[in-house]
Amino acid sequence: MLHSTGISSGRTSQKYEPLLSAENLSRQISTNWIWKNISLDLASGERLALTGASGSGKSLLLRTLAGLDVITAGPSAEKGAISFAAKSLQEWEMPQYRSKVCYIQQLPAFFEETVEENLKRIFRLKAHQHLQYDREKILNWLKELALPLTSSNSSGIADPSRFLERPAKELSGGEAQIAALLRVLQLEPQVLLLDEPTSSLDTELTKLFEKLLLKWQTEIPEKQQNSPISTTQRAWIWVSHNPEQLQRMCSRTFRLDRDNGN
Amino acid sequence: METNYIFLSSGQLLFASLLMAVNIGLSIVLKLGLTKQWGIASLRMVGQLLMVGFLLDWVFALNNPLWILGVAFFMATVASITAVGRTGKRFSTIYLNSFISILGAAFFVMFFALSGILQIDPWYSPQYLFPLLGMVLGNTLNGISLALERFMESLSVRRKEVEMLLSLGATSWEAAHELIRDALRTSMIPTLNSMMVMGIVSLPGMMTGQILAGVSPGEAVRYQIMMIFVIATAAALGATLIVVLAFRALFNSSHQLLLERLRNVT
Repeated sequence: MLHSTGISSGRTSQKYEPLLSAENLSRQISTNWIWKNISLDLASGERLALTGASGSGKSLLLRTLAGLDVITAGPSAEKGAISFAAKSLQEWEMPQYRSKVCYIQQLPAFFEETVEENLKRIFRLKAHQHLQYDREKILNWLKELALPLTSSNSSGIADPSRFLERPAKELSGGEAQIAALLRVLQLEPQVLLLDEPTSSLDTELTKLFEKLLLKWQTEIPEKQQNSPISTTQRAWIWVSHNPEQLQRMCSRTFRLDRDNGN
Repeated sequence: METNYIFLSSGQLLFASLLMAVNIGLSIVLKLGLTKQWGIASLRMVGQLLMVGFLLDWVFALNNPLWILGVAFFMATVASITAVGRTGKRFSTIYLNSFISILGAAFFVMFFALSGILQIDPWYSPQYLFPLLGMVLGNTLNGISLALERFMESLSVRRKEVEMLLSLGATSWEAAHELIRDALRTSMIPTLNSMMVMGIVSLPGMMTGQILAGVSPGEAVRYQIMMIFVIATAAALGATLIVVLAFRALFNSSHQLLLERLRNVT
């Protein structure tokens, strides 16, 4: 994981290796090419917007980058490839890769238990056995999502510990998106693949959600704090239909229906 | 023992078939639309059983291990096809996997029963092998078909849950573990329930058959007890094998769920 990418703003001037890189990806559904020969780089610390019309295959691309879908051969039988931290996907143990490059479903799934039990359950996976559930950290994040009491709006997380005790299946769409985000953030991923992460949130909560994520993104991960060669910064690819949001949250845009060579 | 045993003549069978008049009558009077089916089912049942009787008589007389094994394999093949036939979804290697599961489970328990418990000499003695095998296959195919149906169904219904776990770093086994457990429990609960009430709610067919043939009830239940253990194990083993094989067919080594390999049967 110690790969030496330039993290300063001057990275364009030097030769750098992208954190996550996809080359020549193509996706076909029955006889239709959804996208062909896509190449896409995500630098360390970069915030990339992924846009495109409905049906242009944004979610499919995120799923492929998350390693959930098989990489299929392109129109002239060429094989696409994905690499992360200078290692190709084949070299990665998939669970290890996926705990660093995390995909968040638009409509997240939960088990029939409380929010907290859902958050804890993930630490039973082999890939996360070195980590431990940290209730304080979750509560702090939830506090940042709490709206001022003066607000007439009833949205937001009024009482963080009560929120954790609620049955996850009874969460509203917006609350579920928040719980799903926290479930991923606690795993300290390096890349987030966000599929319309605020689609069920109202305007005010969306703002808090964005603030939380921006703060998270610029933090230096705990693991790297004492390391002299801590160079990898958190990054994301964000899919949204809201151009203003993408402007707030991203520094570069990749348009699927334009940049894919069609 | 043979003294109070009544051989059934063809006339007596014909007399028994008169009972179908009740079923057909009900179908006509109540417009159940089953008149033709009762007729076809009766004919098929009679034909198939007479043929099996004839075939088994022939194999019994030959008493040749190769022929006996051949018929046993044929029965296992039909059982494995039937087990798949009841499922609503298929994948390409499903029949092969079903066959492997049936064969694996049946071989293990039959070996245990014939040469371990009963210590039959020769081991292929058809008088023991076929009745046992028939019951083992029937129960294994039920177990397999329940487990398979449940596993494939929940993979598509609970896909999001499985992929959520995968995308958070779960191995495919970790992601499917709940569904595998659920499928196995579903397939094992009927056997468990029937064992619980065995002899109280149901008098098993094998035991009643032996009693009819003149064996004392006290003796007949002993065979039945052995048989229940044998078929319960066969069903559990078959279900476990098929779910593991289906799991391997529907996930790849990159821990990806390959749901496109499942197609619906219409």
